[in-house]
Amino acid sequence: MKKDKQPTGKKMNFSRRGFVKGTALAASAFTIVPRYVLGGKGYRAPSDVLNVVGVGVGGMGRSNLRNMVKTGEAKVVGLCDVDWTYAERCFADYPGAKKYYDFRMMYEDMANDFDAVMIATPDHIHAVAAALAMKMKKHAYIQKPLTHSVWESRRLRQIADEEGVVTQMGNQGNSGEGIRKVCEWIWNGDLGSITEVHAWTNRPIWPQGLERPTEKAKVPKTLRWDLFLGPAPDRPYHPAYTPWNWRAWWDFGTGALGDMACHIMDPAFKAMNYGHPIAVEASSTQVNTESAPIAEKVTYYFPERENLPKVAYPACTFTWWDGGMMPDRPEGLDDGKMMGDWGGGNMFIGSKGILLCSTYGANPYILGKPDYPAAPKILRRPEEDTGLKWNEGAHEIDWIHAIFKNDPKMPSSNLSYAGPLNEVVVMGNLGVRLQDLRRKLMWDGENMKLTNIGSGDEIRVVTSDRFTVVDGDPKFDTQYATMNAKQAAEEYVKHTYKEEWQGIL
Amino acid sequence: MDNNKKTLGNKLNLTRRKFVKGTALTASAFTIVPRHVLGGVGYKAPSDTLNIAGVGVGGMGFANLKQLTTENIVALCDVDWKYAKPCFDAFPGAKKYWDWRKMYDEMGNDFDAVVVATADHTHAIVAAHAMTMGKHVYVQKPLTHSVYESRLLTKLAKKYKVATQMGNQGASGEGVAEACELIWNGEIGEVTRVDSFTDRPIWPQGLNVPEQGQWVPDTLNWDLFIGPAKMRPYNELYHPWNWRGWWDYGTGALGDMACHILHPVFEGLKLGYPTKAQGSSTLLLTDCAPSAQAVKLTFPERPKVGKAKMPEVEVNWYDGGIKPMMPENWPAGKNMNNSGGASVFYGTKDILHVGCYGRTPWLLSGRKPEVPKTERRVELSHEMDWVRACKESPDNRVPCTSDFAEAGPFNEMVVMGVLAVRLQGLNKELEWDGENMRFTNISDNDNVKIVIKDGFTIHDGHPTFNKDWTDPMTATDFSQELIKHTYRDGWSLPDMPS
Repeated sequence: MKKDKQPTGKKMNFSRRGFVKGTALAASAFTIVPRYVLGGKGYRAPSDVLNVVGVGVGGMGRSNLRNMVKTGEAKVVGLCDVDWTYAERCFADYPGAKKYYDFRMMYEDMANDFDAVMIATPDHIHAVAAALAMKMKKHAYIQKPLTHSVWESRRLRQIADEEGVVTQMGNQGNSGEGIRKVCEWIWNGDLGSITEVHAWTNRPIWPQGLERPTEKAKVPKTLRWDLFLGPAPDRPYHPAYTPWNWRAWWDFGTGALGDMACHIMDPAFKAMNYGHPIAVEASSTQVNTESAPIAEKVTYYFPERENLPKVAYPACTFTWWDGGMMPDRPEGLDDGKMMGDWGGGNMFIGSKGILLCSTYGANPYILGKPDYPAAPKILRRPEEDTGLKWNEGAHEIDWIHAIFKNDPKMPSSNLSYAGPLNEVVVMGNLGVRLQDLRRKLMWDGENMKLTNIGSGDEIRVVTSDRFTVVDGDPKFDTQYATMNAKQAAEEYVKHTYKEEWQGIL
Repeated sequence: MDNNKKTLGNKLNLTRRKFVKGTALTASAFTIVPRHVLGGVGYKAPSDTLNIAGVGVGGMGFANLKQLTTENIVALCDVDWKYAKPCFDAFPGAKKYWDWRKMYDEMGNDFDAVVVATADHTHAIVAAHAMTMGKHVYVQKPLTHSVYESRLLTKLAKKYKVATQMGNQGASGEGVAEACELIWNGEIGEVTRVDSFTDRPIWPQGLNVPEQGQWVPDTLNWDLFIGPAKMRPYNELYHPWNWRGWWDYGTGALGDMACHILHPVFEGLKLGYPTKAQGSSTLLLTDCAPSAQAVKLTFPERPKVGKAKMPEVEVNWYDGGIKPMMPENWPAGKNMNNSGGASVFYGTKDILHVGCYGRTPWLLSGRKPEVPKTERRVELSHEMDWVRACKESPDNRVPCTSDFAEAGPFNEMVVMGVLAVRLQGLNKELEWDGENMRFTNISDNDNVKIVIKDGFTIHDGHPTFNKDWTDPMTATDFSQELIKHTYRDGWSLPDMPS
């Protein structure tokens, strides 16, 4: 295979994985390789490129693809989007790539022409797009949140394991220095045992708490609305859903938690070795059947975990705040210093100290210890290995290098890590959506079940809330839907796909 | 004077106060008086009616006046005669005014007491001037818009010895008394943390300032609505109903509900002035209150009350739907929200849950201890208990359940929450010198910037997050302005009594 060869469709009949395995001998030609692609034994020859296709390329996907091609190690051979207007900019980036509306068609059509897929659709498509590709032995880079539901996370991880493919969730901070310091300091015992962790974000900074639009809108010619909906229940098109604001809608997105917790819960999940929570308790601004609230507070209860050599892991709460709500400032934090940064942050409250960091785990520090001596470096540094910053390609290129090395465990947010993390993230939305149960919801993580909902328990959830002032007098017209709580919970944990989409996972 | 006369107007030139003083001799007819209105020398005969004026009568003020129909409603004032029409119609004999200042000038001798239920920002000025004229005042909650104004009303009430009542009607309910008695009898031990919340606002907040003004309706005097605040173009988003969400006129969900929900906390724990405050919220704007807020106030150790020691305590407030954690032993399925919110007192011996307005205090342990009933039970309405106090002589007056000696400092706590939210950009826990009404850890170097407008838009599917910010403001000036507002020319408060 030549470096500059255009994709040749079905004529190319050997997969990247086959090829990668065969190239170990070519690894001697290192002198011409730029530093940032240098690697260890079994490293690929610089003349090889990974053929990548993108699914959902109008927004974040475009940035991911750019990062993937920046070292010359990957090539974009196929692009898929349900909205060809929104995808136009990305299509222009790769004029040689084949274009599709339907990833199923692309996968079938180009089955032999791509090695890996980058998925950055709305959340509700992640699982089907990734599962189908992985089952074709394609490596997958999947934007955060990994999936829309708990069950999808569980399945994707299983499929990735079964297929032996190399995976990475797109929580790029996970490849940064910050999260590594957080882990190493905590594992070094420098905070003592930690029983309380907080995370917060200023998101959503877009409209949420919305009601289902009622006015009719014409589907743009360049949008395949049926494919946008994918496995989700049918509903009429409206510009309020796509291209940008789908995150606000429960059927397509996961609110601020889904947007940011894969970044901001990440350092805690890794450093604290959390696993499954045993309970969740949440409150929020008005929650309705359609759209995530504009501010949330979600507390997860994690049980005691097995201790590490230098740190004990007693039971611990993790509280998530979004929409601008913040945990209390800790004593000892300098007046005038922002907790975290503009986008959010983390606070770990330990028996020996308090650690604060910014969004993506960036810039961690221990209160009162500005010159904190570095704990032993235990974790591999993808930034050093790739020569790229975490937010400038390290996360994507590290995944590509792992593919060349055929090492599924190498990307630090591979699905054996990101799957369980994402389960916890989206499980928080159960707390939010079921808050009318007015109890701490007990969670059996292994079996993905809330255990303290009676079969007759009902929740009342707002469907519409019209506030008007008529002649100076307020009129509150709030409509509710009453639903069986247990059934609702089960549906949130594992969605019922439309028939056409069943069986993929 | 005919005691039953309903329409008094300008013809009546004997003031109530003069009349009251002149009636001591009639005090022998006491046998016909119900027990609860008995008083000492200088007492007003219960058969005498109070002459009451109302300021701000379209909304809650009308509701209050309806409770006072045994008295003479002699004058009504509102800046919006359309909004006030149902009240005007209900009291056809009352003289009508747009401007309370004119009403006070013209009818100064013809009324004894005032009910103030304007937008928050004019409570203080309307009530303060009435008190300097020796009028009794009933003022809707929140008592005032700023800390300074609360302090002023507290001191004026003391100086002029008038009967006062803040309109947090739950104060006259059984629940607040019961909660206090439980605490003071030591039933929950020492309280170091209280979590309180409301489900309000249930109306839109977090709004951008309307880009355009609207024509002022003929029935509205916008200049008088603005009163001491900064002039801005009229828009129906501000008035008649939604002023509560706008910082210039209202105090958000805290001002609306904290006077109900925190009342048993303030009274039960005898809180006084906080020493520390911090807050966060959904996007903070210069003009409109946020959709959800969190505030933490810290109060230092206080003297023992009854059997209960009063150590340093933190009071956490949440609104907009955000709730505190349920106590560990909270009964599954039970709504923590009772009538609009609740407070949870964490004591060393037990946990006490009290609803909004002090409703249904109960111990999480399930115990139902018999405790001494030390607190007066109000058998009349909150409004009529104030009437009762108005008719008592200052020296023998049994104070109202929310008289300003308590409601003033209490309201300072409430508006301190607003300060914590509005100063959150300073990124510090604010340290408060209550006595001198100043923050001690804001320096001249501190600046604060606040979003004027959230210009989020989506163009062709791509979001832009344009936010217009203020220039950096000197934090000392900005905070001082929030503590003590600069009134618009032509509007001023009476001097602070020493």
